[in-house]
Amino acid sequence: MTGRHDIWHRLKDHETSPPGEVFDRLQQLLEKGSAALADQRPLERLKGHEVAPPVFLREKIEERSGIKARVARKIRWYLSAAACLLLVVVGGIVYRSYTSGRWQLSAAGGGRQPDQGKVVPLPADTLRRENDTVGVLASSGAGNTSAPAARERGVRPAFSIEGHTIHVADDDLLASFISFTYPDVPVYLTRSTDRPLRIQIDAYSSLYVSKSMLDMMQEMYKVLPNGKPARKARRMKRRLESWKEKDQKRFDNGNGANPLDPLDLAEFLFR
Amino acid sequence: MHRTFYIVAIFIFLAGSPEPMAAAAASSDLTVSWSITITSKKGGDMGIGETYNGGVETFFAGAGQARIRLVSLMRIQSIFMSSGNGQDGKFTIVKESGKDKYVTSLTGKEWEVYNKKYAGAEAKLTDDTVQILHHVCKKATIVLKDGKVITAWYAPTIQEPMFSRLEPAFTGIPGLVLKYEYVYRKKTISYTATTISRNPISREIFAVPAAGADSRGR
Repeated sequence: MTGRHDIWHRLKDHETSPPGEVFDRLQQLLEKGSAALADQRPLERLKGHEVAPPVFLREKIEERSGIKARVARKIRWYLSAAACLLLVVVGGIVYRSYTSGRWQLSAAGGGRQPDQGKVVPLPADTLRRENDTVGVLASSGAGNTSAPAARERGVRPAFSIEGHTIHVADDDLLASFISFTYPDVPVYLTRSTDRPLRIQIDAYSSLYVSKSMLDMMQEMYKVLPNGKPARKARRMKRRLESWKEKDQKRFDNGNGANPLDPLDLAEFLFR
Repeated sequence: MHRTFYIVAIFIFLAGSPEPMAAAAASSDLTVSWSITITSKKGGDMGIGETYNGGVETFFAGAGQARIRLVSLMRIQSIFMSSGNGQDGKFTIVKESGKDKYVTSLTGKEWEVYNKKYAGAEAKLTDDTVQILHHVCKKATIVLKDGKVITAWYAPTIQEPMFSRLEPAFTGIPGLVLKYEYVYRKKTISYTATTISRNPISREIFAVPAAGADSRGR
């Protein structure tokens, strides 16, 4: 029997340790008997064991099932909705400010009256009728097609001085300025100043009352100690009223003179 | 559903602001204001001239219509122009202040007769320049047939044909006049541009008052 050449002979002394679970199981069998073993579940110890899947696997799963994409889409949707809402609000504000505020000049918001005095409404428009129409009508001039005219509210100037709206009778600034009654003369006509007075007409134009003109106004409203207008004041008022008549006679008689023409105007003013 | 929301929101935005949208497209509108100054070499009080001193003349143009408006202490008056009747156009003079306001309409031919003093006027252009409101302006001298002279400075970069129709003194000037003056009896009346704007103009500005109409309900 010696000298055999079978391959298993060499494995005679080879040993392999059994797995730990097998050993533990054998030990339990031997210690507690087969009855105890029936109560044990083999993989009980692994009950609480957790193994996290690899990251790439998680992403793939979410991608396939659409979970992550859904979240991203939701965020984008909210952002887009907010942007659209903002556009609508901005458009509404722009539209309202464009249509409501452009043609009207109102008194300075929240501002109190200046210390120097209050702005007094000028005498009521002589052309207002009981039904509050603003119709101003008289025809003048021979010639072509002169016809009575009515004013459209939309194009009527809205005068303001130093941020305060003033009402000007018949839209005639000079006639209004020389028609005040004492003591209601506005202070912007009587105060001493070196600067011209600015009158805002509308969003496009403003005119200036020159220093010389303001001096004339001051002179026109000088009063004596007894409260009556001084002689110089009465003379100045007559002077201004005569200018008004001359201007109307020159430009409103249908004789072809045009106050918007620089030559016609200069030759009238400088004669 | 999301696409529907976007479409609705954009529609509301566009529908809610029609005028600014239209206005933004109306960039051909032009508004120019000139301040009127009356001076004398002697200085001092200009008499009745003080009622126009500091006044303002404003030119509005847009959508085939134009208006020039004078606002001064003494009076407010406008001339409206609308294109029509071929190239003649229609001109309406409106006195807007005082107890006796009026409206006078003129055809193109009548307008030419109204401004006949400018017929045959000659514009001499020079190379002198001056800057007005950031525009380089060239000098021109307009000599009328009767020898009267108007000096003007114009901006070649601004073209507005309706201006020279409303101001026939400047028919031969190749640009918008930003300053002009006339000297008479040693006194000068000057018109100097103070503002130029391309902002859209409300169409109410070009609305000529209707003869005999009640202003209520407008």
